[in-house]
Amino acid sequence: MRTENLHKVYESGDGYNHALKDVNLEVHEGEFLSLVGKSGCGKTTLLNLLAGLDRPTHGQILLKDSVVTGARPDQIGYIFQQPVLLPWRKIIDNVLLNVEIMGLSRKKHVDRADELLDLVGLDNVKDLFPHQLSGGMQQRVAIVRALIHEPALLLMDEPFGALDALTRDHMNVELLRIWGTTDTTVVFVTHDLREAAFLSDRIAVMSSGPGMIREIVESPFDRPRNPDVIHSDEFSELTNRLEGLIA
Amino acid sequence: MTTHKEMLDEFDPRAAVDAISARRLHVERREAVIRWVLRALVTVGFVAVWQYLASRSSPLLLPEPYEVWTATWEKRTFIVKEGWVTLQEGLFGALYGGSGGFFAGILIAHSRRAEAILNPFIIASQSVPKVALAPLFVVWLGFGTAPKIAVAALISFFPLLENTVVGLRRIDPAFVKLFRASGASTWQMFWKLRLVNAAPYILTGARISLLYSLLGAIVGEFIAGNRGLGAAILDAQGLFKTQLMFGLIMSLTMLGILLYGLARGIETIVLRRLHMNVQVDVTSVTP
Repeated sequence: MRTENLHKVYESGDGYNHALKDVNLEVHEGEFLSLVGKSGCGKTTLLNLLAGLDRPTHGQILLKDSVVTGARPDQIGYIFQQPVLLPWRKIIDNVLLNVEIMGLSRKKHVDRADELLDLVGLDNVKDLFPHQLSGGMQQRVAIVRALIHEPALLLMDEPFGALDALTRDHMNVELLRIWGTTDTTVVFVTHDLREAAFLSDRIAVMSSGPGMIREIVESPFDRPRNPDVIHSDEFSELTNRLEGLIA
Repeated sequence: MTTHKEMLDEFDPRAAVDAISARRLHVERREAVIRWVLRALVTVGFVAVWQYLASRSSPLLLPEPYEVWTATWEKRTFIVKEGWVTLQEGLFGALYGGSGGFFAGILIAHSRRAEAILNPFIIASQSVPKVALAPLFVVWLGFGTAPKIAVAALISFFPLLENTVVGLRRIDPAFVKLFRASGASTWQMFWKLRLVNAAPYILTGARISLLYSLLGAIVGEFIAGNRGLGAAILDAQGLFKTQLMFGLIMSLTMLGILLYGLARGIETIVLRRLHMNVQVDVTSVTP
C-alpha cells in the first residue's frame, strides 16, 4: 500500500486547516509500521484515509495497485481506541460481526474464531456478553474480530490508549505474539513512543500544523522480538531519537 | 495445634462476605416492611379522611367509601364490559398512531431533507391540543368506535415519533465507524445497529403512547356515543350516581396502571435480553 501526494484540508472558521500535507508513505508488505506524533498531527486522519473511511482532498491511495475509494473490509481490518463491541451480542457474535456484514459464511469462520480466541487467551468467553469482560479482554476480542477474515492489512488507532499502563505493556507483548502467527501488515497509530519503539519495524514520525511525515526511523531490533529489549541501551537510544524528532 | 499468631491472623473471606450479604439482606427486608406499613397507613388515613368528610356532606357531592364500593361491585359486569370497549379503542389507537409515529420517526431520522421539510408541520400539529379535534372526528367518522380510535391514534403518534428519532440519532459514532469500516450497507446499519441501539427509546415511546391512547379513547367517548367507560361516567353523572362515578374513575385508573405495568414489563424483558439496562424518558410531548 502507498499514498501519493496526499492532502487533506478541512474548513475551519473563515480559514482552513491543512490536516495532511503532501504525504507520500509506502507501507511494505508484512511489516509493522507505526505512525507517531503529537495529538492533532493528523495520525488518525491518515489512518481513516487508508481505511477508505474518508476521502483525501488531493492525491490518492493505492492498495495492491488499485485506488482506494471506499471501505475495503475484505483487505483491511480496523481496530479502534475503544473495543466498540455491541452490548447485545455475545462475544462470538461480536467476533463474527464483520463476517456477517460482508456476507461470508459464518460456518467457515466459527472454527477460526475459536482458534483466535484461544490464541488471545480468551477460551470460555464465547457465550458471555461484552459487559462481563474487562477492558483488556474486550480489546482482545476486538483484535480477534479484525483478524477473523485474515485481512492483508490491519489498521490500529491507539488500540491500547484507554488501558492502564500495566495492561498496555502486557497487550503489546500479546499483540506481537498474535501478529507473529499471521502474514498481516500492520499500521499502528500511537502517541506513546516506547510502545512504537517496542512494536515496530519502522516508525513514521509526523509533525503537526500541517501534518507531514518528518522522518521514518528503522528499528534496530529483529523478530521475534524479545520483551527484554526495552531494557537495552539501543532501546533508550531509539526512544530518545524519536523524542527529539517529535519535539 | 495452632500457634498464637495463627489464631490472630485467622480470617475467612467466605464467611466475611456471607456476613456482609446477610446484613444487607436484613436491611433490605426491614426497609421493605417499613415501606409497606407506611403505604398501608397512608391508605387507611386517606380512607378515614374521606369517610369523615363524606359523613359531613351530601352523598351527591362525596359518597362514603362503602357506598362507592357497593355501587361499583353491583355494576362489575357492566364496568368490565365497558372497560373492554375503552381498552380496545385505546389499543387500536396506540397500534395505528404508534406505528405511524414509529415509521415517520425512521423516515425523519434517516433523511435530513425529510426532517427539514416536515419539521414546521410537525411543530404545528404538535401544538394543536389534540383533544380539541375530537368533535371534528365525530363529524367525520360518526358515533361508533372509529372517532375514539382516531383521537387515541393522534395522541399516540408523537411520543413514538419523537423517541424513535432521538433513539436512532443518539448513537456512539464509534459504532457507526465500525460498521462503515466493515462495508455495511445502510440497510445492515439500520437492522443490526441503529434499530437495536434505539430500542430503549422506542420502548419508552411505546409505553407513553399506550398510556396517552387511553386518554384519547376516553375523550372520544365523552364527546359522542354510548359505549366505554368515558360514556359510562357521563351517564352516571346524568343520573346523579356520584358513587358510581367514583368507581368508574378508579376502574379507569386501574386500567391505566395495568397498561403501564404491562408496557414496563415488556420493556424490562426486552432490554434485559439485549443486555441494555437503560430506561429512558425523553418525551416532552403533551397530549
